[in-house]
Amino acid sequence: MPLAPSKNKNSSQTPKSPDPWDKDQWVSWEVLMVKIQAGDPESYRQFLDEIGPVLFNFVRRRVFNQELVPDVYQEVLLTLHKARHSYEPGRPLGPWLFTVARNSMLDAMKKNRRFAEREVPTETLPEIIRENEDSSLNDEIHLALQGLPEDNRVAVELLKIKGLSLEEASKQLGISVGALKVRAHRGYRELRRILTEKKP
Amino acid sequence: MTRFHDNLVGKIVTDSKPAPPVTPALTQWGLWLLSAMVISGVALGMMGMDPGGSLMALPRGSLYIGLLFAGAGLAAWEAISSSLPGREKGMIRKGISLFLLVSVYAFPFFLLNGGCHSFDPWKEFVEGWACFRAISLLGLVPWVLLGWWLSKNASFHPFWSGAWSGASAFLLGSLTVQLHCPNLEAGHLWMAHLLPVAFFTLAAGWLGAAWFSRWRKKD
Repeated sequence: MPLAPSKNKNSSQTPKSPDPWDKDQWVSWEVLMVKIQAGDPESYRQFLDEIGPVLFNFVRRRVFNQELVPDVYQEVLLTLHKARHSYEPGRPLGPWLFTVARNSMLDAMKKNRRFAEREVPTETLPEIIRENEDSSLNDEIHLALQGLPEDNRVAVELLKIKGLSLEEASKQLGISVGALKVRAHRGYRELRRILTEKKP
Repeated sequence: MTRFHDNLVGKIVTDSKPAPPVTPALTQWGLWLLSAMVISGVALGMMGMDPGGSLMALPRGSLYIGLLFAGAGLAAWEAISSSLPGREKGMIRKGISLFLLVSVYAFPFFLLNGGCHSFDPWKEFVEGWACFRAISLLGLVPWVLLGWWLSKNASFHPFWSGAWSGASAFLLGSLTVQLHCPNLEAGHLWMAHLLPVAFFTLAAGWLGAAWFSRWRKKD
């Protein structure tokens, strides 16, 4: 994300924050979009870094549950990526950009609502698995963990074996706390199923 | 948040391939209109126009033909603009389009001199089956053509993109058959000429909801 403007106005090294009210800014973004459509990765990175704060604020102001903001923002950027071919060069970028952002934001929030109706990530997670005195993990649980999808396995390992907090684990994985809870919850459910099936 | 954004941007940029821009909306519309006229012309050439010229003999016959053509063209534009983010217009424009389509259905009863002496829907449907079938077949080609173009865009309203494409293609079919068919009774026009338009508009919307949202599932 671009840095906030420095208080030292004479600094020539302060990067300029994007000004969404600046017409020239939008013209430069339109130029970048044409390069993005041609497949230029550096232009793409520059565009996403500059437009990121604009889109993030757009999402943040419209999503009531602030915990969902990172997930919705991710959905917006991914949809922008898939829809980048639909921008018509020469036309204003703003209507295209905010239509993509608004619609993908609404879809992301619908998905989260459907998720909330079907699955309830627990606030209180089960106790941390204690290692045995000789530091060997229960073989059965270890085997069952290996059977989980990687995302769920890593979430369970960080929370239950390494004993990290939700915030610490989410930072390490680079995902939101909400997304981590979902992964861990699905991991526990799958573990329970595997361990139950193995019992005679 | 910065690290989250940087990770996300890194993944997106690594995955970026060239994405050639879509054909401009006006060009899409112009090309579709041209192909629609060619398809209509070929079909009319094969079926032949109504030798009695009964529709054109009516004071408002040409108006009705114009209404069908305008309806097909406007519906095609709605289909294309609904499939391009930033092109969708507000309720006024959509209201005008809907009003035009409603007018197409009202016209046979109120404004064509054919009138409606007695209306037996099932009888009209059975007797007008040849027209219903002809319109269904004639509308298929422009519908597939328009659908192919729309699938290359990025519709956030796939049902409406589909429905408008169906309305456009089958209005065109109705227009072509209208120039050939001498029966101007309102009952016949509703059940045999306009009912397939309504039916295929809904079917196209339902199909469009699945087909025009595929771009969102691509990697």
